[in-house]
Amino acid sequence: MSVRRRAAGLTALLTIAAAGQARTLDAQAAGGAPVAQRRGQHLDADGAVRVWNLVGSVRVIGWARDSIAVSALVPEGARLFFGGDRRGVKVGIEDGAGSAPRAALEIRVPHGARVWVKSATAPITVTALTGEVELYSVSGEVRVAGRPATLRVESMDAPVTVADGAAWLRARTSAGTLRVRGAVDDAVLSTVGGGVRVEGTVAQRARIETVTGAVHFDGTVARGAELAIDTNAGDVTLTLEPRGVALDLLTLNGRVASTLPTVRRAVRPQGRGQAASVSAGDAGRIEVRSFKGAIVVEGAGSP
Amino acid sequence: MTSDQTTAHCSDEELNDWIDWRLDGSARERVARHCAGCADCSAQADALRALLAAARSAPESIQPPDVDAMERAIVARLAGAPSSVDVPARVLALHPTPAAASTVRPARRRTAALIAAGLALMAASSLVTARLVRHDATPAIARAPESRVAPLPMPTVRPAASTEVTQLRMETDRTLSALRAAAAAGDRVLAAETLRVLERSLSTIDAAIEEAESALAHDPGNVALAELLSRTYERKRELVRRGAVLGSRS
Repeated sequence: MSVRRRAAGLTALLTIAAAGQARTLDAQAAGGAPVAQRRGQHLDADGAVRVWNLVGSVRVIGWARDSIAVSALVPEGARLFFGGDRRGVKVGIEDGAGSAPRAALEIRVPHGARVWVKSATAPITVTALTGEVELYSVSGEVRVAGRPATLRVESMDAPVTVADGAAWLRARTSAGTLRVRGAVDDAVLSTVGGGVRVEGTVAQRARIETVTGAVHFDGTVARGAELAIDTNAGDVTLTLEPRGVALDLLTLNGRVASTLPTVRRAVRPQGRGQAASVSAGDAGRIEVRSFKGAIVVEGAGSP
Repeated sequence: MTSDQTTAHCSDEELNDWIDWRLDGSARERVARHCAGCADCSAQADALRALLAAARSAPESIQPPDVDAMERAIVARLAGAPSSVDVPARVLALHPTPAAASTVRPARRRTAALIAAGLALMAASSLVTARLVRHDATPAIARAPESRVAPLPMPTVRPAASTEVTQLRMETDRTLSALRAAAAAGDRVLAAETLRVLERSLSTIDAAIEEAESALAHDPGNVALAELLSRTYERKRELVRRGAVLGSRS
């Protein structure tokens, strides 16, 4: 009997402890005891959605309905605001001056909605949108899956991943890394110290700029298209098919190296760096300009 | 915007902005769509691209046949005496060929002429700057034994002291001050976080600018280097703008 009472008491204690811990974790995640809230209304297929949440997380998902649905986990003391009409809606977490409640937002919008999101440290995830998308985050990671018609991402410190390309893309971060996969028609990718990695196709034109960040392009440049890479000190690595692209490479204080036999290096006169070029008719063209970074050209599939 | 994608041609500004990557969103799409269906505007865009390509492929340094004669001519003009300055042949070569120019509409010819004139001015200005910087301690005018004019007080011309650079410095200071004020007023998330990363990135970019400027001072005729420096300045401007946008509560 005594053993049974002890076992029952221990079980009760463990249950209370587990419940308390779960509540503590939720509270930590949301900045206080979180309260679930839901809102929704009609929204045009290309309606505008503005989202404001500085801390916590923001997730925007495109769906095949003419409405917007918001699920939020909001800490006590903060308020979810939601307003607008079928042409446009504002969603956000209302905060006091100087404070930023930690809230989790999940928002479903029509695929073609025009979406604008601003965060400070909250990561932003966007999925299955096909319209105009603008994302601003100081240091929260940004991830975009799906292929928006136009995509603008501006960040200071956040890593940015664009998983499926975009017809028109402007992505800028400073210290964060920038990674783009898929096809882009017209793109500018810019960082200060963050690296840039592109795996995909440049259909029309693209420009990559860094100050000290390394650049890695592993993909194709369509016939007639252009890729320009400009860096002060970042190393540039191009992984390319052996044929089908014209190259114009110049580094003033770095080196040019290539495993492709078609790329012939030249040391420029008067100590003005190393250059290399390859002509390839009306094929795509890649131009690289660097002050002191190395430029390396590798064949796709080479070890 | 003044163009209509079906009838009216693109304006010079639109085409130039398009080629310079300065058009955003719908404006870019409108110009691209128009050019795709308009042989005339497409040809103008190609001509502008060719001109810019020619500018990019220009020699890294342009040495006129007689530097001293050019300098004397400039000095004479400064002193009010009539003179003429021959533009070096290689600068003239930057103009589009007559055949290419004939395909350009009058307004475009003006644009092309302005660009070419700008290039010529840049070349001449670089030359003067280079001479001044090179002879900073003993101005060339004072050294010229045959000069009959009194030595002029010679300003030290440095590319980094341009109006644009000064404006950028002021813009940077304004943005940093606004962020600091907002952070001090209690905005510990948006403004303070933006300020932290902005200051770090500015220090990276300023180091790159300093390095490139130092290299350019040693090799003032290096066009590729000047272009890289110019783009680094542009990146700094863009960074400051981004800091202002991200740090604001709107």
